[in-house]
Amino acid sequence: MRSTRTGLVLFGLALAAFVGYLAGPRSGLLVLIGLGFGLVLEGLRFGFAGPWRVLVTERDGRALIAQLLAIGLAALAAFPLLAAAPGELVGAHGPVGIGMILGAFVFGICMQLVLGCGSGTLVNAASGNLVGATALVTFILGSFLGTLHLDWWTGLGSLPVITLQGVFGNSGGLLVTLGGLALVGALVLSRAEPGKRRPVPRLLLAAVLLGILATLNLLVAGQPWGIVYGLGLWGAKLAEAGGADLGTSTFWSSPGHAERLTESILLDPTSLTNIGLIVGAFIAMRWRSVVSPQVGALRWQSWAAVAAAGLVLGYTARIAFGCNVGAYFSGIATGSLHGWVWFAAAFAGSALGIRLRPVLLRPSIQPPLVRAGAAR
Amino acid sequence: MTASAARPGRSAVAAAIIALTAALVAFDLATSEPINPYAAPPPLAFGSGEAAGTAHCAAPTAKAPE
Repeated sequence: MRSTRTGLVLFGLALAAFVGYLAGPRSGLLVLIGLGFGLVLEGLRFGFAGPWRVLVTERDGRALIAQLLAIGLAALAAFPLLAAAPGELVGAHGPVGIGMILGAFVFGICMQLVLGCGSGTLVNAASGNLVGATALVTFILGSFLGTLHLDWWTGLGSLPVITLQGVFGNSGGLLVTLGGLALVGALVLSRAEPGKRRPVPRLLLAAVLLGILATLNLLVAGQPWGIVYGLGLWGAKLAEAGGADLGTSTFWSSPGHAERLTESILLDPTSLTNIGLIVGAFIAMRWRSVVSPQVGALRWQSWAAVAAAGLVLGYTARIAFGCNVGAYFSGIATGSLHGWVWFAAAFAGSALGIRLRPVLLRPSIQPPLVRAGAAR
Repeated sequence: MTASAARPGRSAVAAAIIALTAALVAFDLATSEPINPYAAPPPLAFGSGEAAGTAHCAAPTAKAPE
């Protein structure tokens, strides 16, 4: 076991060193940060979809309180950093619009169907969960397809980008953000049953580590932690290799995105942290002396539903200007109004997804679906 | 009608995901513009004096009002 763990540590460090050697120190650092995300999410079993589900179904608010704590910690660092270096750092500031709200709502539905969100799908896949692996493949396709239609969805109606810093000033925006998180926390506590309110030490540790890693991501990359942009870029590169002409795409022909398309993904911050996250989750899974059993067998119709849900997850994350990480976590932590609207819409969708899950995910054998590993 | 009961274990699926990720990176390195290590950005964006990138999850499109 010791040799396996030594090998896993060396594997992670070698990956970061290899990327740093090829693409420069920033890329190497971003792989290390991504490794940290993966180790925390899988190693400490910190998720996003599961906590939303258990609050609704089991009145357990502990993990959601930990999420809010992580976002608050990230906000405490992000607001002053963004104010100190407005040209060098950008927040996850997206516009609120019809397509964005609809996208977040449907994303919320689908994240309960695939047992994971944006980060959760990566973590589940890398830790060997067959549902997560299936969803990841179609998630990449969906993210790419979303880029092709993003302009149309935005054209349905969209407000200007609104930030809490812009409305209330830097200090005021931070206070409103922390106050908003406290208000949501109070609602969660009022919903949760006694004994299911205070996060366990594992979740508190994960929240603190995620806050630190998100801050490091901002300092190193100049942009907040995200997931879906990188997956859409991977899909675009594969589509180009398959003969697609993306020169006519509004999204991929705009300067910033066109540059990403021609450059290596080892220069794209979101791709780098995604790669690190995948490997980090893999290391955390292999670190354990006993590997969890595979998810239970599903009917073929349910596998088709998982694949379709993964596709829709990717598509809707793109038109919603981010997933649970890029919009909810990073959007709120950096003062974007769209992060709050995303949260409300996705939570409503999640409540519907919880009801659809037993209808669409049906075991092929009895007893019912083994829930190996918590939904993220 | 059921899915095959002989599903791959977690270790096999995880190994396949790592292999696919490695294949993606290899494919990308073979098809993208060569990386110029001498043009690499500074280690930290903060304090670099360089403008932040526009390619991230929340970046508005051309039609989105700024």
